[in-house]
Amino acid sequence: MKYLILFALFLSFALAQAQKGEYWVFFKDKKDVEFDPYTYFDSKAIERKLKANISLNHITDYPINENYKTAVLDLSESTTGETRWFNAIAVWAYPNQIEAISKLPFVKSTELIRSESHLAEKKINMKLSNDYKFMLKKQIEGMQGSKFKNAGFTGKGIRIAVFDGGFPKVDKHPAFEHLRENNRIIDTWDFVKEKPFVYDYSSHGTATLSCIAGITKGKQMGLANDAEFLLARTEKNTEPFSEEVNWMQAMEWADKKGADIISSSLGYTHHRYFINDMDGKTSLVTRAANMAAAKGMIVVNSMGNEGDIEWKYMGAPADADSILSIGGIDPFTDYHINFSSYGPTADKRLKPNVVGYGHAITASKTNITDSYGTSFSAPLIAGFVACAWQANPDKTNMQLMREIEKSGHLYPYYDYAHGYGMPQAGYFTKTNKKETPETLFNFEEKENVVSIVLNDNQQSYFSIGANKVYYHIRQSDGFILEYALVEPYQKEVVSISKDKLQGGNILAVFFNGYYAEFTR
Amino acid sequence: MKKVIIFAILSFIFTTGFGQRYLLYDNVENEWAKRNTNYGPNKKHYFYPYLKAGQTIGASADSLPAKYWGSGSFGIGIRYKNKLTSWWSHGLDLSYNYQTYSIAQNNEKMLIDNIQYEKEKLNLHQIFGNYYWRFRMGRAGNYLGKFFDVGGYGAWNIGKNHVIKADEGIVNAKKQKTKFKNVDYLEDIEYGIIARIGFPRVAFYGQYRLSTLLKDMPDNSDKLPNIVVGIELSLNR
Repeated sequence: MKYLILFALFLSFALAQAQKGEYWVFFKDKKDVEFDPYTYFDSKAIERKLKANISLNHITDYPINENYKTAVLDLSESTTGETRWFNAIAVWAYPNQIEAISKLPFVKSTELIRSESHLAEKKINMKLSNDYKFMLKKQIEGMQGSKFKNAGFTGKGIRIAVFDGGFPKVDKHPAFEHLRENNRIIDTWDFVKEKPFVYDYSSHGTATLSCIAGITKGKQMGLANDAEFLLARTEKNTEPFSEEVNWMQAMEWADKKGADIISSSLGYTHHRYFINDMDGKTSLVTRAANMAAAKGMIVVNSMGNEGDIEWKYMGAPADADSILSIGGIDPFTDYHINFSSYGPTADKRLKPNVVGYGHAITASKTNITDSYGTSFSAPLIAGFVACAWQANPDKTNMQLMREIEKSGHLYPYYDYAHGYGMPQAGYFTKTNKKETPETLFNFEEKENVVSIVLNDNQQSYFSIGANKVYYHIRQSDGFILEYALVEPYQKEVVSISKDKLQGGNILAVFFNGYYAEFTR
Repeated sequence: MKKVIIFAILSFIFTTGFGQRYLLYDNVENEWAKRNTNYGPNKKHYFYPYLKAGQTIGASADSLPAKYWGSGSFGIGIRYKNKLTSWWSHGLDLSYNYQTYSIAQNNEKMLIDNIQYEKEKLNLHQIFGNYYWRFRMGRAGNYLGKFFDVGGYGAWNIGKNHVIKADEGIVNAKKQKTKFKNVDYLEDIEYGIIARIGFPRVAFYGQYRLSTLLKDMPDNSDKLPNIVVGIELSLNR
């Protein structure tokens, strides 16, 4: 019997330990607090908000009531952070403590925090690609990057906040020498250790920063070489653990410090959520990302690397409706890279918005390497966004996001693997061809089917890997029912049953820049 | 080389004769139905297989002195979980379980006889069933999460073997192993209570046997250790 008692005691102890948790405690109001935006915000932040006609005196930026904080801290074990935007503090507490806290008259609600996220880096062990030069050129020219550079758009005057697990050697690596020499790293903060030094820990941040602004041997690794940077360490480890609290605080820090763009490569998936939670309003990080958009910033977040596992879809906050969620394509095939997570969101919105290369040349702690993951698609596009914003300084964040989508190489075609495709600089520098594209295919109706038939002059469709036919069938509300990418070897690419086109459904096809739709 | 040529010919016939190569296809409509399924680690219904290994502990009678390190169990099974609320589930599992008790050989040992052998064991092959309540600890998505289970179990002893190993008193002779199968002095049914704590792919469990193991023995003389503590490995995502 004594063993039974010992075992029961062990279980009770283990159970009690396991129940201590980290919680958000949300407050009902911000009574009796004072706020001066001109002392709180960086001048760059004030400039951005005024330009976007966003109030400087918004209640979400007011501090949390100190008395509320003190009362909650008295009832909890410790605090790990706070968010002004959501009027909440994060605390460690036992269930009985959290129950007592939830009964405080000024507490609106409590929510358990589960801090398991994935940085969207795909671990693949391989030697440096032999196609190093090809890839480096491709990751710039895939976005027509030289058009930005030739036009003088290198992200100058745009401030980008990068959230990651650490930035080792960014203070020494030659790929960032131009940033250091020109004092373009404006501020840094380690939200894990609560100190300014971030040049250590996971090299993931070093790699993502290089995709935005790196230069190696005189060649661009990312497009925004002249942008300004705020570097925030928000993750404890490269994979898979993260701190949601840190990420939330970093968002507010970036807003305060005047960031125009936030580049982030994390995603919360099955550890905390169901696929149906990816609806743009359930997760707190998603709502925070939308809040950042409401403050005038553009959040560029990776879709995630769950495309080839059961989860398959994006992770929060990539489901947010007001951010750019970036999928990945393969630089060697120019279509979906197998691990890149798919859309749509649970409420049937398009995601990803656009795509970047999910296999890129990046800076490492010691040198240059190649890396896989939508972690690198997102910063490549963040650099693009900085250049596009420099080219269109009068656009608001939401206006610019729509323009970024329109610049996609597949636009107006879209699907849930590629979004609108990869953004093209020529759209913003107005150097792309403007003539109406030649008709490259037709729709041929037969008894029960409609076929996509390439024109006779499209001889190139016999060359493997060169030309691909994208098609989708969508409802009139825009929701895609099925989509495909086909490499054609004959004129008649595919035949679609007319039954699939009932009820106003639309067949949309994209081939070599030519787009057409068919409806019954 | 021959295979390469055949593959190349087939590839040519396929690609030219049948037309197209689909690089990507997604039927979102069908996938949408899967999103709303009731089946999953933290949904209404879920099955998952598991492996378990346990160590027998607890007191034994003087006449049945168990050796701890030779006594234990191993099992493989499948568990069904039915979610009732966000924090409460119940379920059943069914497993094959192999349980062994190693009996120390001393002067007081009395298992059918008091002869001291080289080794002596009672081996049980069990069909093991368990009904449990599960309490989830903390919030999680479609994921088993941390949990605490309590429940009862019953086992049908489909194989009841008494194994002895003896040297027959002959110096340097090969040891003789004798197995008495399906002995009638072991019970057919065993039952008890069980508890688990899961983290979640790995769970630690403890089970307490309430029933006796040997038939028709005077009180206390049939007492073999009745606690098993062990580890379970869930073979799920």
